[in-house]
Amino acid sequence: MTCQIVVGPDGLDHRTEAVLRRERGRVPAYIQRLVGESVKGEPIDDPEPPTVDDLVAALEERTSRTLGVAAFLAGRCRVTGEAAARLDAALADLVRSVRVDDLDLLAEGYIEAALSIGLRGDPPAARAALEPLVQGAGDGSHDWMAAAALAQLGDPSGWPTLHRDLREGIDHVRLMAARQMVMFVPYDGQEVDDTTISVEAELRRLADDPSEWIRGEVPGLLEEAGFTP
Amino acid sequence: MHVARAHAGCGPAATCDPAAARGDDGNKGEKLLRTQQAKDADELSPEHAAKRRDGGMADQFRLFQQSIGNTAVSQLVATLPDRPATTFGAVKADDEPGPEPAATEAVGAPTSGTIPDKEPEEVTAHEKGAGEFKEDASGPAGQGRRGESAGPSGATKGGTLRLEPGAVNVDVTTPEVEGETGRSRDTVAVGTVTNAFSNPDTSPSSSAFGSESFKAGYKNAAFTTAGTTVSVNFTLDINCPWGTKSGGKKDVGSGTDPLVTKDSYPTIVSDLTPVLKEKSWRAPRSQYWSEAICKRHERFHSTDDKAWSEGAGKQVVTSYLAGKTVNQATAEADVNTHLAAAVAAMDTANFQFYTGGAASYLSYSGEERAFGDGKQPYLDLAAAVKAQGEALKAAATPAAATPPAATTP
Repeated sequence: MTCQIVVGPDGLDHRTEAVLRRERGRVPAYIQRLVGESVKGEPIDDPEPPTVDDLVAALEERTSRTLGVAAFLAGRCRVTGEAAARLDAALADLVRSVRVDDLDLLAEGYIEAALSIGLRGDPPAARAALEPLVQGAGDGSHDWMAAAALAQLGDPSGWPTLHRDLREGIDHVRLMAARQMVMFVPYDGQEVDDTTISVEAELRRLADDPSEWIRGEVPGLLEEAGFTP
Repeated sequence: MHVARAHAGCGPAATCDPAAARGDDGNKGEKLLRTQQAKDADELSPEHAAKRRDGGMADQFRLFQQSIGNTAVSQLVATLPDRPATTFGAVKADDEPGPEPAATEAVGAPTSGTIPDKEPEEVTAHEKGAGEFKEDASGPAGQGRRGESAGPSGATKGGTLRLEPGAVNVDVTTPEVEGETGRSRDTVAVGTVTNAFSNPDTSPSSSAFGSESFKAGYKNAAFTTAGTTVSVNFTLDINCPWGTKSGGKKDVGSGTDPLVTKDSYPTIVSDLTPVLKEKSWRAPRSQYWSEAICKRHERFHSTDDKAWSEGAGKQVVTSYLAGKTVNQATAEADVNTHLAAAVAAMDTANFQFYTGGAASYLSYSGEERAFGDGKQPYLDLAAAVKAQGEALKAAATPAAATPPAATTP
């Protein structure tokens, strides 16, 4: 059965329009990566969506290259009946069968799978899978992604983790953390573990980041978050 | 919840020092170690119990380190006698970790070795060991411990050694794949095009003008063992093939291209004038294209990837490897496995770098940069075409009719 890929709030109020725009834009590239056409170039208009079989196979095979995109697409695949149950089971099996303290190359796939479980109707299970990562259980490589997923699920508890990753020595981690700031706009001004959520201030601070990649993205990230670049 | 860390080597207007950042990763390493201890407690094997003891020692070391500072610890360690790379201190399976591994119980395990090259490729195969954590999985010990550092003894046991990246070079090749876009299932050896896609008309990407792909491997890898640390030197072998194709469009090489006529030039100018869509200046190219500028665009992506590989990408690899562990008896295979996993992590990070954070293809920061790079060349070409077209049109238009002089019959 072929998926109908639909990106929507799925009952989660904190999935803002900016978040949904990002996700819609990613769908073509993610489908291409799933089928082994991962390149930098103009994506195909209206790529053929994956089938449930494609997604379940990728979720079971657990290849680092396709697991993350398969888990993402599975959460946005609109099917019903037995096909939906197969997707639910494959996502649940992935999250259940790996150890959160030992994710290694599966980290991206695990987090996408957890969020997809939330999108498919079980936010409490999604939060339960993600919370350990922002509490320090993982290897730290994808904490920024877990924090962002939790924010979409209505839980800003990952802010201190993101705040830390914004000061990480690895450029890639800092850039990825910067890109997740928009997820915390709905919580702006709140305090989490004595750390105030201040999206604009953090983004403006990054305008002086040592990495030119990060500095270059700051204006766009500010604009996306609703601030004057 | 984490204690917020401030990396001394990283901050506004400062130079980020990944090594310093790793060195300052004590909280995270400690956190991970505690996680490991908790995991071990669940498993109750003698080996895991010993590992938990190791963790306790590492904790003590970190407290010591925090109290006197990293620099002082480094100076102290520097005063210790060197351990020749060719002597190996075996650690008995049941021993308690000590400050110095015994230097006399060599077990014949490899103390140095070379690792077969892994050619750059799109990482599609399941990486053995790494990334597989089902209950029956077997692989090198110590998966997934980014930045974890062992204590002064190495905090290892039972022949487990700590992996540490040594000299890491990055070698990037950016070959053009003639006649096809990089998205094809081509076979590309390092720096050499050995085959090109042969069926472009049926390619699902036939609407695209070009593409570039990222393939990572490693070569010249060799490791040496000193005490309880395995240091691995290697070269990241990055291959970024790129290519363009016309998609049936006509290539306009310059303003004086024969395609430019008094009739065709308005369409050509329109096709080659970049229009800002989202964040990218993109030429419509409905009937005409510029192969040269499209090549420039794809080449730009490959140089983008080159810079990323040498900076952020290399950091991803070295931080992935730092603190991984290998078994002394299977060191060569384990190092190989970790290197393969590290380039897989690099591949994932590169895709995140390219696609993340933007609303769509035309807002990807990489595309914004690449299309931005091509904006002026397009404007220049369109202006040249316009000038030529207008000149041709003027030449073809009869001079304004001058009334013939009146003649008197």
